[in-house]
Amino acid sequence: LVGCSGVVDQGGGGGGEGDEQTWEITQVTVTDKNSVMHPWEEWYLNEVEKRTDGQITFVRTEPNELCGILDAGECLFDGRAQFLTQVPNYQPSAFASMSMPEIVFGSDNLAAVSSAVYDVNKENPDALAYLEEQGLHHVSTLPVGRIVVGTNQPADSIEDLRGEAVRTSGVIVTHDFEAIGASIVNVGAQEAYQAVQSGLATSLAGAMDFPVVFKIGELLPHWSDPGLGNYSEFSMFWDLETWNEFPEDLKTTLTEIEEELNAGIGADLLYDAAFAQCEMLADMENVESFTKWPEESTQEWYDRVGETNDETWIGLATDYGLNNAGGVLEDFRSAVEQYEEEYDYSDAVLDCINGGFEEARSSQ
Amino acid sequence: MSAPGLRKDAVPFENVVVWIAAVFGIISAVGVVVTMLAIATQVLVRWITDYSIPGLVELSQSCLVVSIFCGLGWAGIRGEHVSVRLLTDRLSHRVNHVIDVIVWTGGSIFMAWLTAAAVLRAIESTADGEAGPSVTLVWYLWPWRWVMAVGLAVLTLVALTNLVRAFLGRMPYDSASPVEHAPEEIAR
Amino acid sequence: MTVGMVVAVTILLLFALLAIRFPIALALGLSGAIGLILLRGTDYATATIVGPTFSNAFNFTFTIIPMFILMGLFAVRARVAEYVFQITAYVTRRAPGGLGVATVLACAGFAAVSGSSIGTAATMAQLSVGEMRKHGFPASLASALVAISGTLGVMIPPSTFLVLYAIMTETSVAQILAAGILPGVLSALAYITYIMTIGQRKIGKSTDKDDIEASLAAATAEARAKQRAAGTGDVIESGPGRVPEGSGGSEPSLSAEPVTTWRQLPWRGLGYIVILFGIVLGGMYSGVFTPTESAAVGALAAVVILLFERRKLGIKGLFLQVRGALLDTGATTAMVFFIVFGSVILSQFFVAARVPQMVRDGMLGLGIPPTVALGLLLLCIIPLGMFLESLSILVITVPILAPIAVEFAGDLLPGQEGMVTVWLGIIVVKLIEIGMVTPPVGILGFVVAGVAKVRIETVFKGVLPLFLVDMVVLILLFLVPDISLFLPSLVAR
Ligand code: NA
Ligand code: NA
Repeated sequence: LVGCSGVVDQGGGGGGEGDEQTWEITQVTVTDKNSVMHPWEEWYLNEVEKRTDGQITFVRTEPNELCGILDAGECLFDGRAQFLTQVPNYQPSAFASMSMPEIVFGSDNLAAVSSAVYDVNKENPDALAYLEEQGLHHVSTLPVGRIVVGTNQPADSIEDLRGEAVRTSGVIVTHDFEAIGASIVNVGAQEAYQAVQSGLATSLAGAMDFPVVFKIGELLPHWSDPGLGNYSEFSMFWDLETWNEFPEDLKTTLTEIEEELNAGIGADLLYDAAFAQCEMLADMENVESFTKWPEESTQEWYDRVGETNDETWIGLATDYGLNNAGGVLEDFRSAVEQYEEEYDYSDAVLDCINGGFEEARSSQ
Repeated sequence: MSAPGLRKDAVPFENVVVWIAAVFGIISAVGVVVTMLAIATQVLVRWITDYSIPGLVELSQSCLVVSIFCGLGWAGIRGEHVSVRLLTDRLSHRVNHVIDVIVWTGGSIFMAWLTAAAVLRAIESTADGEAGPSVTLVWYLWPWRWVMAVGLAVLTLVALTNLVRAFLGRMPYDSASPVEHAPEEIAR
Repeated sequence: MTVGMVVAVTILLLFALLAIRFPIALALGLSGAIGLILLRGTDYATATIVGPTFSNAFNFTFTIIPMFILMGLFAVRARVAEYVFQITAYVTRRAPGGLGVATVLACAGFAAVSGSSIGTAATMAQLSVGEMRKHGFPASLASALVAISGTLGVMIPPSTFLVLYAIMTETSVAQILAAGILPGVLSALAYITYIMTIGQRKIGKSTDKDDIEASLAAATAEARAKQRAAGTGDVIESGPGRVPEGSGGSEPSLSAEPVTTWRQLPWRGLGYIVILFGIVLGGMYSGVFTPTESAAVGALAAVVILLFERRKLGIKGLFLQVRGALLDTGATTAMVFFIVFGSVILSQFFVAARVPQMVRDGMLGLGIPPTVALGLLLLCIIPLGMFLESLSILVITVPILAPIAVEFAGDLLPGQEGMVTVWLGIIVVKLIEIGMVTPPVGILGFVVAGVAKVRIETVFKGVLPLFLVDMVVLILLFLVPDISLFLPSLVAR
């Protein structure tokens, strides 16, 4: 019934006709077309449409069209949409079991992180119970990539960030920045540009989308990777009732696609998109440098505050209704370790700093 | 031009509705003050110490919810909700009373529907412990969903009051200017 | 019922509800909700009326609206508006339509600090509609001028709207913000030209029902006052509610004492305005405040001015002033947002019915040349703007328009292909803004009508000639891309 509620009658195309039932699924997303997340999302939607022979089709909507970015999940929960791409951080109380990649100083192997989140949400009983309670079928979670910091002066140590007004977001990240003496400017991503332009924020910390898609590279000339690792993540979901309504053969097909996506395809698509962003950053006239902090600087930061991050995450996830969050985190960590051995993943941002950026510069 | 308080021809329960709406109007005004003071404090503290107080953005957003929804009924009593009177001004007194009944039947049904939906959503939100985006701290959304539900309920009460008045052939509290009312009410 | 029929029924229902004087917010919400029921069923409609309503209220960027309204109300009660307009009226006493010019300039100034058209219109409606009417401007002209000048709020930076466009189209934010300045100034100049020529001939010759009523009421009040013999003094002390001086035009000649010399002018009013604008503009451009913060600090400064300026009222009197302003702000905020909610519900219906896609497919199916198709698609924004809320229009139309424009950049802007999205953005935003003042759903018109206590049909009557002025501006922007592109060409990507 829920599947059919997403169907617009288009002269006989409705559900339950002929041999094969069809579903027209309304998709709601927060992914901008220019974001590094777009290829990952499109790949899944296209594969589903292709491999189900048109039994499932998606009505794609634009970010902000049906639901706002900060509450896109609302559209899934209230039945206006049946498929969702959301940033768990935006609606933390509904997506707590997907947000482990936000714990900074985590693994640099984003492919392993992505697979680990998938496994935990398929195998850990507390995570599964949580998903069921939210009415979600988890499809995939992809980290957005490493935190980069944009500054007016070159930066390579925590001293350089002391006293800076940093635009960033996320409880753990902001906590770690405050611990080294930075103050946090709390404005939305779309207001970030005007905050930096007016001098309200003097620095910015976020994924590569910020210098490139949100154009902060037009304003801040020096970019660096402080070694905090991944910033945030995007997740895709089916509405659980819709999913449950699919016949077994369809579920099998969808699960195959899901597994392929989580076993490396998603991370590869991210690599390509993120590397392309690096080249765009190199193309920005105002950008002067893109560097990595030395190990000692990163270590100094970790020593200051890094140990507390797990506790912070467990506390938050518990507040948001995830039972035994510590156990979920433990399962996640061991899955990451296991996948780190399996996947030989190189990170696009690191590759970019180690040569791609200069190469793109010199080939201009 | 006097305060928009009670009409001389008030029906009994109207006193209660006007009183409730006025109390919520005051709560709405408090929301406005808190927003102003919270943001000004933020600016001052940041200017002096370079430190941003966590949660003030969330507090301001929440106060906006309070100001809007608690102000709805009060605005209704004051006849602030704008309408187009181009056509109806040319129609007779009697037709206008029929229109009043239609408008406030429709208005009451819609408001009751909206209120019921908001209450259900608030219950759900409370059960889920729904929280807003994690920027610097945890901020629960469910109390503000209740503010929305209750504020809509007050406006529903005002709409029902208008309906009752319309049935009794009296002028509803709506957007006609006091000037327009004056001659009719004097004549009555 | 087919989707097309449902759309037709919904639009007809909207017109019917408006005609029988449903409060506008209820008319928008109810017709949208019934459309959604017909299209998708009751559960879907129920979800749609609640979700977006809450998320449009729990929204930090919108906090700026009550703060600017509050600042305006404090300033009105501190008589700042009255003083400034007295000065303006004196200075421009030989220039035609001086107060109208002052209003447009003030709106442009507000636009330079506020990213919100609604905030700009609500504040200026508070400050200037009453003053203009006291000086003989017809209600229609005064209110429409404020409504249309409110549209400058989005065009002149800062503008979250333009930033969102830049992100959607991979355009440089610096360039699109710079691009908004000249078209914004050009629009302001166009409104000023109108008010100084055709507009000023209407001053003192009103046929608006609001004005006829107001003079009737003034006469009645005068008669009553004579009856009561004992004057009670200040009009606004009469309880927690309504209508401070300057918002109704009910006392046309009382405060417009003819000033004869420069010395008699209340110059401190100018000082106050400089302080308020200094705080708001200076704070923002120096990076001390965000726009929302500047509005709140401006409101705080305005209350200080109020307390100082009206200190003779004593503690109780001042308390009543502040309380009145706060209660008015709450009610006005509720009224403004209620209309926004209704408009969002109707927008949700149009999105669910996929009307914009129907329009696009119909257009592209005609087989006309792409540049012509782009022009026609752009023009379609105006009818969409008649019903949809502005963010929805931006989000829905830009992904359709931008790729066409980029593909045919060579035909559209020979020699400046790289700037095509900048130019397109300005045109699109201008069109969307025009939609914000056109009936039946012209949200700025509703806001001004509500705040200034003028009939909505009066506002729309006054908007018509200004709409034509805006169309001329639009044609200029379309034919002379350099108006939009000159400043951004100086800004690095
Ligand atoms: Na602006
Ligand atoms: Na319109």
